[in-house]
Amino acid sequence: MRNPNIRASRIACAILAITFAFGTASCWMPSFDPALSTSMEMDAFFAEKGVDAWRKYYSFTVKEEQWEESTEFVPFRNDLITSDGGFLVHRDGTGLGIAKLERTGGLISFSWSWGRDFNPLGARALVEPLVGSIDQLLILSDFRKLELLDTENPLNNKSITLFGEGQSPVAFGTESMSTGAENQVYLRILVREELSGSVKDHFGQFDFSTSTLGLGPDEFSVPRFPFPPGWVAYDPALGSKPWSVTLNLAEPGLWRFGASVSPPPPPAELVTDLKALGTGTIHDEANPRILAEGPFFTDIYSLAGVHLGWLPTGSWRFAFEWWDSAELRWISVFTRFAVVTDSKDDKGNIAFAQVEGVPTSDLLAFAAEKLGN
Amino acid sequence: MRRAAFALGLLAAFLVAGASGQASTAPAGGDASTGEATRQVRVLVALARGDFDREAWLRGLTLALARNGLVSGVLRARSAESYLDQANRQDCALVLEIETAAGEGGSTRVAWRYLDALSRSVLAEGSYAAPEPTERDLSGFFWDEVEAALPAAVSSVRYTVFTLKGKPGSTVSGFSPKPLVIPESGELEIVADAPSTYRWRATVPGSYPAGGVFAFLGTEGAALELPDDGLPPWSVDAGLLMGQFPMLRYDRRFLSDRAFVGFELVSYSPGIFLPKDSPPDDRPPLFVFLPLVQPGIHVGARLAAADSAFRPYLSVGAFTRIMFPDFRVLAFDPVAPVGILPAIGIEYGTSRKLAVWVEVGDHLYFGPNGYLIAASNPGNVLWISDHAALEIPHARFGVRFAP
Repeated sequence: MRNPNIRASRIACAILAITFAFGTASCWMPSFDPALSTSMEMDAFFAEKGVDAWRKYYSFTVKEEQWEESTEFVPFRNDLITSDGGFLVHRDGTGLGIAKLERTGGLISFSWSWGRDFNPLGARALVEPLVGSIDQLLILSDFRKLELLDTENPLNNKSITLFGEGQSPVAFGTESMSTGAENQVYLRILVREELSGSVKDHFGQFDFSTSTLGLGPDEFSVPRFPFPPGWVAYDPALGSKPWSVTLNLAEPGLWRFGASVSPPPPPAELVTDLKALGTGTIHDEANPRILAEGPFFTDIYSLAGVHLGWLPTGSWRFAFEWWDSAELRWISVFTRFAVVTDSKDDKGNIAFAQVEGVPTSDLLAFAAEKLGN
Repeated sequence: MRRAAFALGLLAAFLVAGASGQASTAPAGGDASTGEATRQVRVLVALARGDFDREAWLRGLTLALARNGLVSGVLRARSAESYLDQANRQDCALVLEIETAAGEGGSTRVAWRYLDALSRSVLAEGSYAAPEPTERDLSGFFWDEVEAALPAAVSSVRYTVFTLKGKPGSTVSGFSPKPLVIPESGELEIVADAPSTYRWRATVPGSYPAGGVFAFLGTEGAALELPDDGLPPWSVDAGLLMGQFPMLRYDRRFLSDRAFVGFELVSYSPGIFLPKDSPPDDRPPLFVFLPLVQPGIHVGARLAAADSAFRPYLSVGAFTRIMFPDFRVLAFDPVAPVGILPAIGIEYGTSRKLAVWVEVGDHLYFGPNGYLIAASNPGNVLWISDHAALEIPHARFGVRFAP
């Protein structure tokens, strides 16, 4: 028979040990980034189907901690042959940071950087290099204001006030035109105006080629929804004022707005639920497809709400779609950025950015195969 | 003639002392014997007070007795009244009483008695007269008569045995200079003085080691039955990795619980996440759900016996990692599909069924690109190579249950 004092002492020690061990619970995380691991299947796909001209790899050292998280690499919006580089874009709820990365003669340099401690759009803040330019960026972070930054000459910076009091964005998105000047990119915005209980919406489109914004009144019946705003895509099937919009109400959903008929405005129609909020648009020939990018997978939908497939994108992020005028095909451009935080001193950490371009037709076929699996 | 005898006795004393290097007293515990081995007894000497150099007399008597192979130790009585009780308490089977008186012509008269300490019966007695001894005489011939009577007295001490009972093959130490092994019959008869006490320890095949103090009072039929508490063949652990992620472990135990081999599963979903510098108005959720499980196998060795309160151990394991992002894909993690985990730990038994344990180790991951492994980690990677990365530290703790 055990001595009860010894037994009590042992139990007390056990409790102390457990308490101590619980005290060690921390912010430790294992060497596992599910997005990076998921993206490895895309690496194999890019190796097989990727376009060599778009395959870029940048390795460099970063010292500022802001680049270690919530950072994306956005390549120059050109063919990446004449100008090699892009922008590091750090987006989170506390701010927005941008640095310009250029590679000249094999050397990587950062010639310009910009930051702001205000970013109400968080991770959905829009940062778009202008087509064919390595100096100009379009930014939508303060949702009342669209800004144009010039990395070479700050005097060229512009801003356009999109909304006034009582107005808020419903959705926005960029899109390459499907016909004609394919690499002329448009920014589309839906704005809700709330006056005396009535809801009016406006749409506008920014012509990247001319840096002009046309914002015209239109009316739709838009449901109330929480932030953040969704993604808007041009829907040629709906006529002259067509929108398919992904909105995050209770769950991400694809909504369709018919042509304006006033009065009364037609109600918005929920087409289908989505696995994630829309974040981009690509072309299946002339038909826009919505990319709904989640933390691990990107799902592809038609504007009619048909689920066409999914991609294990993980840490690969869709950047934009580029029209290859030589091969007459669309190229979907993806990027991946990672930092190896192995340095405990002030020498900085190794970062690498990758760019891959793949024919959109191959991408859609791959996505459809995954759906079959 | 007396001088010659004295000289011979002194020479003999030196020879015996030099040959055996024997100390005048034996270790505290008694020595038992089995079978026909020579019996040895401890003798308690009670020297009555008198007008002589008491210390010199006792020293000489002790030396004389210690020379005899039948004596394993000589103790002195601490009092003139209760030395028989002292003898029993201190495992002395034999008591030697010495009384002295002044004889005729300046001689000294010595009366001696050997008593059985337990029965208090007189086994042998006598007296003789001798000239006043010098210190050299006391170390030699002066005690010849007392010493000569010793074998008869020892043989008359009550013959006592007890029985060790236990699982065949059990090894028991503490009853003799060399460990005893329980034979196939499961019983081993031990010849021992009564009373005697033994601090013993037994290693029983397939069972917990046992030990204790056995007091043998000479009771007929006395037996010491070795406990046979079977060692647990398996154990189950529930724990937390870094105090955050749950894990389960199942071990099979071998080699008297000195070795183990097992299977473990670490789940990174759910986990506790306590960031250090989160803003008060934007605290991340307490629980994280990483879509990853880590099954593995391991082998190890415990460095202390099964009945030790603290049992350090070493282990090494190999694991694989299976991811299930959004439950849409179930695949080996392509960045770090496998790894090895060496660890050192210690367990503390709150009972035989329950223990708490803590261990530290590292994860050495292998994959197609070591830098991708490092890029998957927010800063705990210590070393990177082309195809591997080392993540330190790894601390685990938990509770271990054994049937």
